[in-house]
Amino acid sequence: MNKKLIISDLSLSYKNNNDKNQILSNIYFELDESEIGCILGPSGCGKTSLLRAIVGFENIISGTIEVNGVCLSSSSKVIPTQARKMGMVFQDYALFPNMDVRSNVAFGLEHLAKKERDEKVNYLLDIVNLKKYENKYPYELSGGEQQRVALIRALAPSPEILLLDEPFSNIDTDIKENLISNIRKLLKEFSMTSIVVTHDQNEAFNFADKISIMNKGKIEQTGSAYEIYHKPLNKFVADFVGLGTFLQITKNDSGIFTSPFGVLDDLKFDKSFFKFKNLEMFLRPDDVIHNDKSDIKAVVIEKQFRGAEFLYKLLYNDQYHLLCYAPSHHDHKIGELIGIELDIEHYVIFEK
Amino acid sequence: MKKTYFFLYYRYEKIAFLLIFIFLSSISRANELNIYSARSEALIKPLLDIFEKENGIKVNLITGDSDILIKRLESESQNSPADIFLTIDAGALYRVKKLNLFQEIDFSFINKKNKISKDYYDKEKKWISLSKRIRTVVYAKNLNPENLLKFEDLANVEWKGKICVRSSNNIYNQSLVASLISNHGEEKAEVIIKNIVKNFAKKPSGNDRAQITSVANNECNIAIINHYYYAQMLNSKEPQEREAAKKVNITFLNQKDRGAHVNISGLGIVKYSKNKKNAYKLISFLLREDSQVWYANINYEYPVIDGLNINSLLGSWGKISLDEGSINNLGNLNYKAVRLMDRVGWQ
Amino acid sequence: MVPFIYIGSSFFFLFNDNWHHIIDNVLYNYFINSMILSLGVAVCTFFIGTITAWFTSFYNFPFKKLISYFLLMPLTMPAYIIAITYVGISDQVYFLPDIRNLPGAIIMISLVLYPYVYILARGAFLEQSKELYENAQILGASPAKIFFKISMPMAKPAIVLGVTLSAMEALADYGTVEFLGIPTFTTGIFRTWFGMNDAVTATQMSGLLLTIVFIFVFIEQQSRSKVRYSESIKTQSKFSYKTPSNINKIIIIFICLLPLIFGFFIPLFQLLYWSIFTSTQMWDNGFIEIISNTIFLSFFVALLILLISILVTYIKRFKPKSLITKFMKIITLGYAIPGSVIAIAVVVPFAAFDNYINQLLSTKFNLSVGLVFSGTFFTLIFGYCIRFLTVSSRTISAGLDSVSIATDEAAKSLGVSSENILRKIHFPLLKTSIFTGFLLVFVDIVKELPLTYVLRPFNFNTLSVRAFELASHEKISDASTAAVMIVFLAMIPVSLIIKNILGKRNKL
Repeated sequence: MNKKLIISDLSLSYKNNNDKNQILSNIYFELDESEIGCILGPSGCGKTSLLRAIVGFENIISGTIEVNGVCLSSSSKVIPTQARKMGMVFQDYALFPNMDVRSNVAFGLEHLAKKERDEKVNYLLDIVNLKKYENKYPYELSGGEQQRVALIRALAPSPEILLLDEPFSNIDTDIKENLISNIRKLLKEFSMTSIVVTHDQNEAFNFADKISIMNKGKIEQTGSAYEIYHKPLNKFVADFVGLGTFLQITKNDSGIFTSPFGVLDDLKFDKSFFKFKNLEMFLRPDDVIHNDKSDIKAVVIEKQFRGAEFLYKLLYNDQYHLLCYAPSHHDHKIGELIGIELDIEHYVIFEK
Repeated sequence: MKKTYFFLYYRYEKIAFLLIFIFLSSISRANELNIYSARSEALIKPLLDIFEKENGIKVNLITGDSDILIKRLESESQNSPADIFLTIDAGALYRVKKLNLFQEIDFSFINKKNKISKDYYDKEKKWISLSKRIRTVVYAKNLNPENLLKFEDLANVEWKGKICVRSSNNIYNQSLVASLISNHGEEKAEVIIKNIVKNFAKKPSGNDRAQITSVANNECNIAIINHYYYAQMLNSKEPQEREAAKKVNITFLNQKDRGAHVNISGLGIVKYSKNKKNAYKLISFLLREDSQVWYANINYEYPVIDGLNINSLLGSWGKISLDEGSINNLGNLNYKAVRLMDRVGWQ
Repeated sequence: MVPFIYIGSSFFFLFNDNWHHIIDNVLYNYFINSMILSLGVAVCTFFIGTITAWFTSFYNFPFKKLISYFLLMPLTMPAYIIAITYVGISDQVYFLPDIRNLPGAIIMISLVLYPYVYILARGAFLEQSKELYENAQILGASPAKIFFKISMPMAKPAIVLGVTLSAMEALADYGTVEFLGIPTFTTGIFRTWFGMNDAVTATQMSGLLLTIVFIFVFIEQQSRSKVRYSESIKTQSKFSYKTPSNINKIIIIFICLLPLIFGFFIPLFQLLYWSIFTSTQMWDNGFIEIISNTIFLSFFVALLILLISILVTYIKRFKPKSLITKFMKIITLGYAIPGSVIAIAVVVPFAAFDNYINQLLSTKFNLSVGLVFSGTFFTLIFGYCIRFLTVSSRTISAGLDSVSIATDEAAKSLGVSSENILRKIHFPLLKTSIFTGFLLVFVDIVKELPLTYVLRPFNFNTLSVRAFELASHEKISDASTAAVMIVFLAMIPVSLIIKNILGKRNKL
């Protein structure tokens, strides 16, 4: 299958006075037809700049952006935004305040005959249940309604790729999950190749087929949600996605690795680490299991109620922090000693 | 930020301060003379300054459009501060007289030596003239002025497309037409003006100097103008104006019959004047020989006192016969003149 | 209100024979010329103002900052002065078309009024969210489509305001059309009054003019209140300029320079040229006094008008149904009435009032105080207020409209008093509009002629009065020194406007 989007070795910088400010460096990113990709990263990591480079608002200094095998951007060539056939949903939706809902949606359809255009707008309005609002102005709509208008407006011209910039950041949490799956379903129905940019990992996990973690202008890791969560390639990814704590690992003179909880099983981590002396192991809360019968005891220093379970923050041996999920009927007080045991299938180890 | 809005916090105080300032400015002082003048500051203030010094009288001056000043006089009525109303058009003097806002001038208070002929003051002695302004024509040097002896000649078909003049909104043209009505009656005057309008080279626009320039630039051959603009252009500091003026000749019309059209600048003492004595002092001063010559030297207007040694340019034009008989009629015919010009389409 | 009642009350007088004469001979001409003039000025200022604002708001080109700065400079030129300079130039340069006609008057007036549209349109363009443009680009819209479908409609309230102000000022213009020989409603009013000595008919004609303007303003306000944009616009992102190709850069610079050269540099150089011959004699003590008079008068009156318009604007916001709001609608029409008519409409009632006071005092206390109001600074300032309240109050209320009412409500819900809402929330937000309003009025007063001419007290002279008097005596080279001073003086506030409005946004 041909790749829909290929970004290779892309770099981008702003000239800020005399300092060259590198925004993106050596980005590689690919999407298959109708795949939904996600750029996940903290704010200021350059993810929005990447979107802007894809639509053609930013001139890149090296690398290429190709869609359907056609180069859109390179250091020497820039196809203007208007000709790129991209769709974009902005964080603030950027609805045209001087136009009603219908005109907003029809804005990108001027090339169609009136009848065809009306049909398409009607069809889209029906899909998102906004037919009744077609003559309203943006300021008369709620945030969610505005977002739906922005979405179908972007979809209307049948873009090659749909870009969504923090699309859910202005949506109430209680309806967010539902909305995310609805929009995902819609995009899949349209077989829409899409990129969503977000800082919220839950949005990324629920929405995307493929996630790229971005930090300081670089892509740290690309993979499925499972891979990102369970097999982080570096400490940044591990720390940024999900919860966890780091444990000190030391190698003794006879080459045996030990953690504060005892000797490590060589088979559960990659041999390439054997040469190092000091390592760190990353523990997810689900790697630490609460067991009252266990001999290993740790002190509860903080706890959060999460409905079905408690998240305990523990202190082991007066110096090692751990996180642990426990079913919520195991209600322990702060300062109490509770028993724990480790249940790890594969160590996540980093060089220290 | 606080500093920026300082004045907003203290706005009431500021307003109060302003009001006090306003009030103080309106309190009048003794031994002064208040003048409403339609003659502009540059053409009267220097004389008034001399008068002020000589007599120790504080002169307060407001200049403005004559009819607006008249309206002001009228609405202020007996409380008006004005002592003297000074203007540049006989019509305006007539209007003030009609509104009964002038008092009779007692000629015995004026220096006997400076006699002015009777056409230059009001029959009922409500106003007197200070200077004369002649409206006449200039023509291109290549033009033969043989057929250009009377104002009425301008109506001949011969001059079709050759005449330049400013708009009929201007008082100079209005009083010119009024003088024509005074001499010929309304019907005959209308025919003459109608034919003159047909001879216009272009739609009336610009001022008198612009008309002279138009003749110099061959846009037309004859321009109706006030004589002193031509004189001023001849002596202009600006080379282009001098060049333009040198390309035209002046001629004074109707020399063999009634004389060239003349309008006057003049003044009257306001009925409710509180400084009558000072007003008479000023009139005597303005009719004095040196003041009279000043008009001729500064603005090339003719003095109303005869036999004075005026400047060489005006002198070189010799003695000019003037239509003095119409002066006293200009005011009451002005209204008819305007309507006449509207009817014949003089814009 | 008083002057408007005065003008309105003239309709109760009988319509005399002069009306027949005017209707038969000249009214049609007056009406058509005035309409063409004001519509022509509206169209010209619209195009010049919006196009220059568009280029300087969205494109990057060499000398952009300087050009956008100087584009406001024609604001410093009184319209009749620019007309005089061009007539002077065309007398010497034969290939120039004659401007002594209606199109010429439209161009002259537009050249000095387009900055109103420019400044308001530019402000509106720069406040628009960048994302909207980007979004439109992504949706495949061409620059032209973005301009007509998005930028223009969103900037519409500001542009309409600028165009209306220009059209109103053109309608009220006397000096320019008189000089260029175009009979309009305004010249007709004075002709009737001065020439036919019929003040009643003249006032009735002003009333008619006022009615026409009222209809204009009504239409403008209808178009404005239809859609409110303020709440849906969020300006977060900084604006990025487009850099056009080199040829386009040259075209843009050329287009932006045109109004600048014709509206400012050519007339200024002509004035400077003329003033060379006289400037040395003009600089006496009197002239310096005139300059300081002009500065003080303009400054304090602009300040006063600013305070009043802030007050009025807020009454309009908090108590939209109050009587004052309705009065304001009428008073703001003052901008379209010829200054001399306002002047008379101020003088007559106040003089009558003064006479009444005097009569009262003399019968009761045997006391005479003379004229208290008329002939003093009071009437002068009063006249300015009527004429220029529109400029500042509209500028401020345009700024205020973009502060959402939800902000007020949020503040009120926190128990903040109305006064504190003004001070702590609105003033910081409105600083620019307030300052602009102040400076615009300042410039206007420096240039203003008829009101100052009629209403100033004894021995008080300003630059514009001096320039006008000398110009009407056809001593243009003497007048030009004063005119040049007007331009230089007006350049101070205009530069400050630029610094205040344009400067901040240029530093991106």
